[in-house]
Amino acid sequence: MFKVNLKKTWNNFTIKVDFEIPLGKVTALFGHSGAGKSSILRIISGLEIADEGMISDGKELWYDSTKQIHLPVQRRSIGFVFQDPSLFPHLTVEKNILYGVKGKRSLNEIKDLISLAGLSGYERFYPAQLSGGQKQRVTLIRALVRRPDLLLLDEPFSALDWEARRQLQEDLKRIIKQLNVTTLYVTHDITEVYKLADKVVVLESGKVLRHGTPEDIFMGKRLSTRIQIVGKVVGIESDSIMAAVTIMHEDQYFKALVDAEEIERLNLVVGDDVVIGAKSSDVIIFKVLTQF
Amino acid sequence: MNYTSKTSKISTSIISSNNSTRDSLKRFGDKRISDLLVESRNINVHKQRVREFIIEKLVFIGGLTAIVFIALIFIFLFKEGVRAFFLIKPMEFIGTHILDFDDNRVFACMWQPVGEPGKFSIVPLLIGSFLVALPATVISTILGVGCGIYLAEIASIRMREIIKPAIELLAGIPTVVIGFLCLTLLATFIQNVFHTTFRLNAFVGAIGVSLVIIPVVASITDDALRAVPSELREASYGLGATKWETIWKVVVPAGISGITASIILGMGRALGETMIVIMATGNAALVTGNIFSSVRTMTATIAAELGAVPHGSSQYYALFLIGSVLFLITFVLNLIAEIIINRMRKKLKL
Repeated sequence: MFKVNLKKTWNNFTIKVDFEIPLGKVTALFGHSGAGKSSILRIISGLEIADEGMISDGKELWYDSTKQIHLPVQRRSIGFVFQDPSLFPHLTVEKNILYGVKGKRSLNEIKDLISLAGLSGYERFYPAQLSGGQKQRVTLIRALVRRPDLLLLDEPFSALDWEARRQLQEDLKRIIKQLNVTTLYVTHDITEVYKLADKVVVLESGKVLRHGTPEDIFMGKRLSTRIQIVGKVVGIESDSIMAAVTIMHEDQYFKALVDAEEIERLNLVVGDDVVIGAKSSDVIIFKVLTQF
Repeated sequence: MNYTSKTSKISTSIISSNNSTRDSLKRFGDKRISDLLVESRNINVHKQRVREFIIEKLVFIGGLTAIVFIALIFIFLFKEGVRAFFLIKPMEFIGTHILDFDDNRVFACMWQPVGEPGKFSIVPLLIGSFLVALPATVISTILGVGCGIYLAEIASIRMREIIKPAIELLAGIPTVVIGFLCLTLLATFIQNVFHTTFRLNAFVGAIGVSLVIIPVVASITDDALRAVPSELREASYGLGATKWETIWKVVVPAGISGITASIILGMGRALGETMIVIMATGNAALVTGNIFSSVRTMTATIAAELGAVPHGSSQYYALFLIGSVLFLITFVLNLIAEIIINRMRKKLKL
């Protein structure tokens, strides 16, 4: 269990958080931009230093302000993937992946990782010859090849188009499950939280608002039998009594009828991320629209 | 129940009402405030377009003047340089047969333009120029690139604030002052250390010239390395690399095109440097490979002789030919630099 407890103040912004990252699970750090997600990630990785607090991986202290401990980035067993690809442009895919590998590692193991990410055949390519999605795959493998105790992902797919993103999300889920690596995932995309995370920590202006499973957090309560559609609101049509909400889930459109009051209560507008959930007995199903 | 779209209904009504009012108002020759605003905006847009057009053309002319000047210099230099071939046999620019002390006919490369007959071999001058420029480039590469790496990667902000202006100040010292120091202090020091035959030699000149190029190399290297995205450094740290490993394996290779450019530019500068070499290298046109020997560079020859030469003489045109050769060499160097940089950029997409 990773324990994170930090406080850091910039000119007019303070981060003060305390949360845990369960081993072998994916924890999502969810919040809107400016909530301090990326800063927390940078502090955990050691690229920035907190003012006070403690970071521990359960066995060793990575940072402790009272004991004056600050492990440099190099000594922390981490792997991170940033929003923008950070591949070394002068090295081939293979050399990029092997960059962080100290000593001899069996080449088969690395080959397995490469094929796991669907990159076989690209070993001799330079980053400039790869697509955005492929670059992020290489970055991911490069981070994982060192077998880090903690994988830090900072909105790794936000620069990609929808299709590449979906494919990568699935691959990421598969790879993480297979390698059983503890992951902290920063995102502002609720769909990604639902897809990938076992636990979610909701941040707002530098503070932890809530944490728990995605269902607990975003639906308020657990429904025994439920149907969930996660997506973005693309249209609201309402009169005084009922409202039809159209949401887009990946490339699919769904329409749901709800009370108009509910729309007002939630202050729902086009562009919001929503989860539509209901007991299966209560669901009215519309046929999926692929176009308007 | 009636689920008519609230929003779409509103928007359609706005559009339709808009159209109808506009039509009706037009008929009466009237104008609404919004129409007037649109019109004034159109006038503004028009003004802006005219202004942009003028600025664009001015900038274009600015760019064109640079090309025109280069072309004019090129034409003048070559027009005069080519006429040397009418007065002097082409072979003589490499060497001539002379009689040595034992009256044997030997082939010699000599620059003795005022002798009778004049000897116009540019070989010793080429050797002289490169014997100064190459060591100067090596010295300034080691020190300048090192300095650039220090400035961009290692120096604290405070150190940087002290060192960067100091380096720029070094670039601002008049070359005649550096030449003076080389002639008086450095030459004696070098002779005492290396026990050289010639007090003023290519090596002394090279050190002096490198003082002028180091700031150029350091500052371009600094810029090139600072342009390397910080994500690459952080990624390298995150993969367990130390600061030095990061610098040598990531930052320098990623900024290599800028560093290469700085070195080649520095070499061009070294070949063109005149004042320091005229003061510090001894100006003896010798064919030699020894960097502790006196040499005479192309630039020093032109500077020293052109003012005193009769207009229209063989020597006059020979000097122009030397100028053309120098121009060509620096042109080719810049071209090579450009090609190398473009290739790297394409490969790395930097």
